[in-house]
Amino acid sequence: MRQITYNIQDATPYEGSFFRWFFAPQSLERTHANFDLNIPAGKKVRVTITNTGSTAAVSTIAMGLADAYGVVEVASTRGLRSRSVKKTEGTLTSLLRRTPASRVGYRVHLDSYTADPFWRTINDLDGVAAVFAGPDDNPEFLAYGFVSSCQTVADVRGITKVQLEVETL
Amino acid sequence: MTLRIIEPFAITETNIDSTNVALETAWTAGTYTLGTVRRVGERLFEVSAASTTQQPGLAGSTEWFDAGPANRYAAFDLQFGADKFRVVETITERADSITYTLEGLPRLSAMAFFGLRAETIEITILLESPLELFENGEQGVFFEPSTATAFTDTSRTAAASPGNGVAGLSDLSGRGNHAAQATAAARPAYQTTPDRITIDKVDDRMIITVPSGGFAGTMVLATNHGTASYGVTIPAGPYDIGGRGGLYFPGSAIVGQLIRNGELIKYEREYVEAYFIGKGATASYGAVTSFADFWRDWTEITSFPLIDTSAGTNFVLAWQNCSGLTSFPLINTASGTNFVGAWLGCSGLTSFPLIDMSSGTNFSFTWRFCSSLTSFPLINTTSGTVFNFAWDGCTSLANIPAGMFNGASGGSFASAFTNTALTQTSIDNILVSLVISGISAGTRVFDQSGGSAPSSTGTNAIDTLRSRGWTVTVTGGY
Repeated sequence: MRQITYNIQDATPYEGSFFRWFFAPQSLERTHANFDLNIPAGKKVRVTITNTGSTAAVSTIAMGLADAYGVVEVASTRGLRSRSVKKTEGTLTSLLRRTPASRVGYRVHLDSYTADPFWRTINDLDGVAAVFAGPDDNPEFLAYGFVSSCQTVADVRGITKVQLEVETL
Repeated sequence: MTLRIIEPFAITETNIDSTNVALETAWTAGTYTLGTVRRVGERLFEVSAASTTQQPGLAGSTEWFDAGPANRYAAFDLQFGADKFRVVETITERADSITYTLEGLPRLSAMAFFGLRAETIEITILLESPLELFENGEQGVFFEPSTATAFTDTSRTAAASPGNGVAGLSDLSGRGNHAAQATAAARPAYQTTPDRITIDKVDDRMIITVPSGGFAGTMVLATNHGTASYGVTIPAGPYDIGGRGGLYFPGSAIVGQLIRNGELIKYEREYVEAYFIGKGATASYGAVTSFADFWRDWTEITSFPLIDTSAGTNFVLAWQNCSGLTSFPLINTASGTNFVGAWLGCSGLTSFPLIDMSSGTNFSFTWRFCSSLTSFPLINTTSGTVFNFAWDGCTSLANIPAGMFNGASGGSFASAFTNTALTQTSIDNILVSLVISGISAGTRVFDQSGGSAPSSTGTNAIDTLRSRGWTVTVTGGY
């Protein structure tokens, strides 16, 4: 498909999602990911973000090849880690703002011996920010950040479960 | 659902081909005061001293601090959150929309957006050549006359020179649907500046053989009178490139023509149109005054574009027998005076727009045989004098609004509503409207057949009309 247009979702609740619970006052989606692109190398790509009559804004546009691993299980979690951001000048330290960040935990069921390629990717991402996405209908599990921990929690004959934690930027 | 991970590709200035996000003022040598912000490369720096002449961004620059990425680059600094060591909330923002055209990218299968404030996101793979529209094996044709594609023989070996009749025209789509004209007298002439083939609108045309399965998609036609894109369904077999039957064509020269099996999206149509305009085609039909016979007998058209017809006065037979059209755009016909047979035989039209026909004088045969129309809008007929056969043969036409002819200027309605399906209310509306028009001189004829007979309201109107010298024939024989 040469052109894809996505209309940002409004306040329609996401059924069964933590999103509305955590971010009830926020009526519009702040994140979106498309994993169905097929853009050959070398093509020119135009990205347009429209907010007619207001200010269009985006903090990060991340693009690349998506790797897919296993099945994200229901035990995935997301928690807020609000931060204070301060600025120190001489002896004066002032609070610039508090900014939300999240810790997102994915419990992933890897079968058919996919643990090895999974861990290779995780090793590559050590200290490298990346985009992580869980189930499509749970946008709260779309996260951009660093892997803060990853550990195997079960491993039986080619079937591995890992607990991956991502700290969002 | 699987866990999906994108390791982002780093976008830098070299990847940004164009954008509508302006750059902040760049730093140049000078004296700057506290709080002044200047840009160096992709980053902003702010003066942190009372005044400074230092250059920001250097190791020894103690009087500037890094204020983060420039607005244009914030979206790609792969940072949107914060901690005390990093710049907070690096956001690209702009009124209404942000657009980036990116190049030098690797293969991409995913794109993610964070920190959005937006209504829509649009991702478009840009075309760099019309040939890309055929890169997946799509059927179609792509003609662009030049010394490399126009030939004086049907086997396409002898290149044409300016003035030569063109016997062969190469299809650049890669599908091999080359055009040919074996008859010398019917060959278009190759001309330059711009490269084009001119047609005499008597018999000139090139012929292609549409392969099995036909073409169902979009045609972009670029001529010396205008450029437009049409939805088309073309059956397998011979097809005229140039005048339909050598006669009917929206222009007198072809600068470019592309037909693809499979509909082109809006961006693709606009790209191809711009491509041909860049080759010398006229962009708009806005200067054309006579559209007579332009799309006559183009039965293959399934959708017609909203072109600029604002200068048009003559629309005689312009869309006659465009039977593939089911609807029609709200074109500007405010200057149109002669609509004789304009939509005659457009048997697929199920609706007709409320176009401005206030200057129209002659509506003879205008919608004759539009057999799928069931209702009609309240068009302005105040300048109309002749309506003979205007809706004749509109066999499904049932509803005509009241007041349609209140201001009509003439009474030639011979066979205007014969072979229609007018409801009693509609025929009453028409007859009452003719009474209101007050026409009591010149030709005064009105005919209806099919549909319903008028009620007493209508027959009373008929009595009035007859008293004014009208000859009125209606269903039911009153």
